Amino acid sequence: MNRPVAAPDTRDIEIERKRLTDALAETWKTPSGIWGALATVDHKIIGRRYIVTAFVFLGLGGVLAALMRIQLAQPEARLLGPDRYNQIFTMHGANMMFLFAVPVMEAVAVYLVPLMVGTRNIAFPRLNAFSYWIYLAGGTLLWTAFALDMGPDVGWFAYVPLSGPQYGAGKRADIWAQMITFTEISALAVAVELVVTIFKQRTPGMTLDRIPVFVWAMLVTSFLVIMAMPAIVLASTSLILDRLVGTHFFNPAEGGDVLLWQHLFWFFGHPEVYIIFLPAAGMVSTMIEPFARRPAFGYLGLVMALIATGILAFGLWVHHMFVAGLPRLGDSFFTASSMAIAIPAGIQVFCWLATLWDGRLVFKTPLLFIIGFIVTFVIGGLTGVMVASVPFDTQVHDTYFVVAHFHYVLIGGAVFPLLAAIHYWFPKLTGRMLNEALGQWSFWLIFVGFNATFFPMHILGLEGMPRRVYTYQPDLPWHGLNLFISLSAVILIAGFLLFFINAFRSARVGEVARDNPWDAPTLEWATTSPPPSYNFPMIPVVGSLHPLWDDRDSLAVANGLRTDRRELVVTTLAAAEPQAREASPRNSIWPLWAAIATTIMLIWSMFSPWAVVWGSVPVAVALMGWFWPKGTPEDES
Amino acid sequence: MNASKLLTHLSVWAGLWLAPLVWAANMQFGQILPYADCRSQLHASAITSFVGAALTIASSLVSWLTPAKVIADSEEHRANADFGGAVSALSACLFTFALLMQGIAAMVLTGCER
Repeated sequence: MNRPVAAPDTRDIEIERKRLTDALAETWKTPSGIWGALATVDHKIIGRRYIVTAFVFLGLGGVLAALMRIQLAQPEARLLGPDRYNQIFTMHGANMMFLFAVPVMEAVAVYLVPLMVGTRNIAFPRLNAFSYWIYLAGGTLLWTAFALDMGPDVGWFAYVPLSGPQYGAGKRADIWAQMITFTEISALAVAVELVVTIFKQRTPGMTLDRIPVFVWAMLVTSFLVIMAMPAIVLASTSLILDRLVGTHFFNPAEGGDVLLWQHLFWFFGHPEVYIIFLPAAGMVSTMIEPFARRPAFGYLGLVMALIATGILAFGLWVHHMFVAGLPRLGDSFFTASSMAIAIPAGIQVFCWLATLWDGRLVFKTPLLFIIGFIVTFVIGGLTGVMVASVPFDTQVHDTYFVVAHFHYVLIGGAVFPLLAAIHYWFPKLTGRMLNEALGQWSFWLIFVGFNATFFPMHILGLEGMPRRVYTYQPDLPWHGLNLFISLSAVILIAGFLLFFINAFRSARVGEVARDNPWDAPTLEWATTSPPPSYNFPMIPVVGSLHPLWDDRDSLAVANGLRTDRRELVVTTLAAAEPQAREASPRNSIWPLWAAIATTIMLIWSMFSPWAVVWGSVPVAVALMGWFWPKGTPEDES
Repeated sequence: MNASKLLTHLSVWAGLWLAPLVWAANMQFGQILPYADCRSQLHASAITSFVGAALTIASSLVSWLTPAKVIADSEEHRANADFGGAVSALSACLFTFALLMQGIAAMVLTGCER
C-alpha cells in the first residue's frame, strides 16, 4: 500500500530569522523585468503605481487650470476659443474628480491598509492589479480624446439634454460616459478589496476599537463607493444607450426625464465629495498623533463622525438642484440635512484641535499641511453652510462663489491632507525622507497661493461672474480680481512644482529613512522602510490602538504560517480572533489581459452595441485564464 | 453560537441593523401611505415615521445598555463590546434624525400633492 509521504514542515515556527526571510522573499517576490512588472500583484507596487499615475493626472489637470487662468486674466482674451475652453473646463473637472481625487485616496489605501492592519497582501490581489490597468486605460482614453480634439465639452456632470443625442454631436459625450465606466469599475474593485481586507485580514488582537482611524475612514469610504457608484454607472450607461441605441431615458418628448439625470448623477456626486474627504480626514486623524506626541482626542467621536458623514452623505444630493424647480418642502428638507452634516465635520475639527491643544507639537511639514487643512477646510465648510440655504444658493448658483467654495473644500479638505500624507508616508513608500526645507517652502507657497487664488473668487461670484464662461467684456467689473487671481495662481503652481521637484529628487538622493522616522504608533512602521515583499517576517499581534507606543520594546507575533506558499491569517470580524490560514494568489499576467479585453470592449461599445456581445468573448477567455488552477501551492486551499 | 449568545450579539448591534431596517421600511410606507392620507387626512405617513423613530430610539438604548450586561471572558472582549455598543447606539441616532425629519415633512403635507 502506498503511504503518502509527509511534506516537509514549511511553517514559520522555530526557523532561524535569515532562513525565514529568505523563504518568504522567494515566495512573495515580484520577478525582475517587464513581465514581472506587468504580472505583479504586490499591493505596494500597485499602490505606488496608482499614486504616481494619479499625481501625473493632477499635473495634467493643473496645466488645464493654468490655461484657464491665463485666458481669464484679461477681458476678451483670445488664447482659447469657446469650444476648446468648454473641453478644458470639462477635462479639468472630470480629470480631477475621476482620475485624481478618488483614485489617489484609494491608491494610498491600497498601499497602506494591508500594512496598517498587519497582513501580507490586500484581499483579491489580482483584482487589484486589474483595477489599476482599467484605471490607466480610462485615463488614457480621456486624454487621448482630448489630444485629438474629441475631449468631452459637457461639464464634469454632463447634464442632459446637452450631453444627449439632440445636442451632443460626435463622440465627445460618449468619451466622458465611458471614462466613467472605466473609473467606476476600478473604484468598485478597490472598494471591495478594502472591505474584505479590513473585515477579515486584520491581525490578531486588532479589535474594532483598535483599528487605526485611517483604516476606519477607508472602510466607510469603501461602503460609500459601493453604494454610490452604481447610480452613476446606471446613469452613464443609460446615456450611452440614449446616444447609441436610441433609448429615451432622458428624452422628455418620448416619456423620458431630464431631471432623472440630475438625480442619478448627484445621488452619486454628493457622496463622491465624501469619498474624497473621508480618507483625507482619516489621514489627518492618524498623522496628527506623532506630531502632537499624544493619542488623537476622542477616538469614538472620530470614528462616529466618519460613519455619520457616510450615512448623511446620501441625504444631501438635492442641494445641487435647488434651482431645478423642485417642491419647496423638498428643498427645505435638503437644506436641513445639508446643514446637519456640519455636525460630524465639526466634531472632527474639535477633536483635532483638542489633540493639538494638549500636544507637544513637532512642526514638521506634515503638521504644517494639517494645520493648513484645518484652516482651509473650515472656511470651505462655512461657505458650504451658506450655500445650503436655498435663498442664498439661488443667488450664487453657477457663479464663481460656488467655484471658490468647492475648491476650498476639495483642495483644502483633500489635497492639503494628501500632501501631508505624502510627506509623512514618503519614507515608507521609498525608503527615503523628503527634504524638510523644500517641504516647508512648498507648504507656504501652496497655502498662500491657494488662498490668494480662491478667496477672491467668492467676491467675483458675489459680483455676479458666472462659471464656465470663456471670456467677459471689459466694461464688467471683474477684470482686476481676475488678474489678481491669475497672478496668485503662479504662486500656487510654484508651490506644486517645488513639491514635485522635492519628490523626484528625494526619491533618488534623499536622506535614507529609518523604519519609524516619526516615532509613530501604527503597524505600518513596524516593518522596514520600504517594506519587504511579504510586509512582515512574522504577523504582528496587537494589544492596543497604539501598538508601537504601548509595546515599544517587543511586539508580540503570531506564527504557524507556511513559508512555501503565500498565506495570510484570516480573523473574525469584530474580535479579530484567528480563524483560518488562507492562500493569497500569486503573480499573474491574466489581470492585464482581462483589462485589455475589457478596454477593447468598452471603447468599441461607443461605436456599436454589438461590441458588448463579441467583446465579451475575449473578456470571458481572460477570466478563465485568470481563475484556471496553475498547479501552485496556493491552489490547495 | 447558542441562543442567548446570539440574542446578546443582536442586542449589542441593534442600532446598526434594526434602525436602518426600520428606516428602509418607512421609506416604503412613504411610497404607499400618501394615498391613504389624501383620502382620509389620517397623517398615517407621519405617524409611521414617528413610530419608526420610537423604535430606533429603543434600538439605540438596547445597544447602549447591553454591553454592561455582557459577561465578557476578558477585558479585551469587554472593551470591544462597549465600543460596538456605542457605535451602534450612535448610528441609530442618525436614523432617528432621518425618521423625525420625514415625520415632520409628512405633517406638513396632505398627501394629495402631485
